[in-house]
Amino acid sequence: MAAVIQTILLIGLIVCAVAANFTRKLLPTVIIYATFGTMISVIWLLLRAPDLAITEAAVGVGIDSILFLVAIRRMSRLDKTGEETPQETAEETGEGAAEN
Amino acid sequence: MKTDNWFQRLVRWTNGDSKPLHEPQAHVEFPKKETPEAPEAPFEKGPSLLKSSAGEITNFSLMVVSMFCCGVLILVLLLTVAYLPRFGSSYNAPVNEVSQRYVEQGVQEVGATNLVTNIILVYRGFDTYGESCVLFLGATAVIMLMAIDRNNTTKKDLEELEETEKMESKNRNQIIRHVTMILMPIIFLYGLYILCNGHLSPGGGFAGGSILGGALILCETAFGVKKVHSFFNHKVYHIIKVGALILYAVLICYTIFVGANGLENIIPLGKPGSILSAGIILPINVAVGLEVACTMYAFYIYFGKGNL
Repeated sequence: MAAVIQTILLIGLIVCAVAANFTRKLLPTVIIYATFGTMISVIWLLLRAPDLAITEAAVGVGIDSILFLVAIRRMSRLDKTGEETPQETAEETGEGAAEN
Repeated sequence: MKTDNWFQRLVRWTNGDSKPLHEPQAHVEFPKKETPEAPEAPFEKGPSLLKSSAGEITNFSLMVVSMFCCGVLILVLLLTVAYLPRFGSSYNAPVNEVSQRYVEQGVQEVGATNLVTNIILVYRGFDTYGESCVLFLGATAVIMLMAIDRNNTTKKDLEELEETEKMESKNRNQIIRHVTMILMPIIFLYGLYILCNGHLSPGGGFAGGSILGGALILCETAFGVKKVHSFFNHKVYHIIKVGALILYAVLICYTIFVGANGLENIIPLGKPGSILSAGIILPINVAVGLEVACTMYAFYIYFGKGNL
């Protein structure tokens, strides 16, 4: 039984590792990465390394994902402030063209 | 082109210049300055082309050299792997001796029933001390880069930050707040349990500390910075971070000194299996845990807000 679960988890690991690379958007990538961490922490537990399992679950799943999410939020804030000005100018010029 | 010394270049680099190291920048900029002139005088195209091709050649040779270095490095590493002893073979005796000693005499010599903690905190305590120093340096670097001070912010930025803070405190999610109120004590208790039972059961400083740090982050998400600030401010953060590292250094230096000189260790080992046992392991675990918790929370808060 444990062997079956382990095989499923190992296949899932490979799928997650590949999917995290090929996902375009950043938020799904972080979620897939957290899934990867959860799976590997269960695998550590099955391989009788509970120390590693606890650390992986706390650091790899919890703290890492939180830091990535904070970084993404900060990046999107920067993107917004960068994008708003050109869009506004484009709209203004467009209106000006319509008026002319 | 004026030539400035390394200190001025360092100052320019810290002020955000992207190419401080290019003192031979004159060579790089020279063809760039030439190219606008080229259309004016067509017969000068030949030399300018030659120059650009010369630049390409240097780029190409750089690429070849770097690829050659990479190839050599790969070859050396592969050769090293080929000379490693086979995994699990009988004649790599030193490894077996060490592990046998750890398993047989670890509990008597160090006193913790969790052998992993024995190895990483006492037998290999110096390495773990290095890891703690890396965490300390990482947090310091994040503070240097991310902290808000008068050099990198304007009044407008501060006002915007305050506005977002007000908006967040108004629109704080009720569900998260109530769930956090229930879960918070349990998470803190679990973190402390893992921290203080590191010598008896799986876990230890790093795992327990990161759980505590996660609990602090959850608290900040649910109740805002000001609530966390009431019991965990700048002063407390610095005192805990530096104090924990110094405590760890003193303990590990004492152990190494005593062990190397064959003196008698005055720290009692206690009865294996009880909570007050294993000599230096319990205080070291607490120190590492506090250090890790502070570092995790500092990473989060400086990445997100830029101010503790």
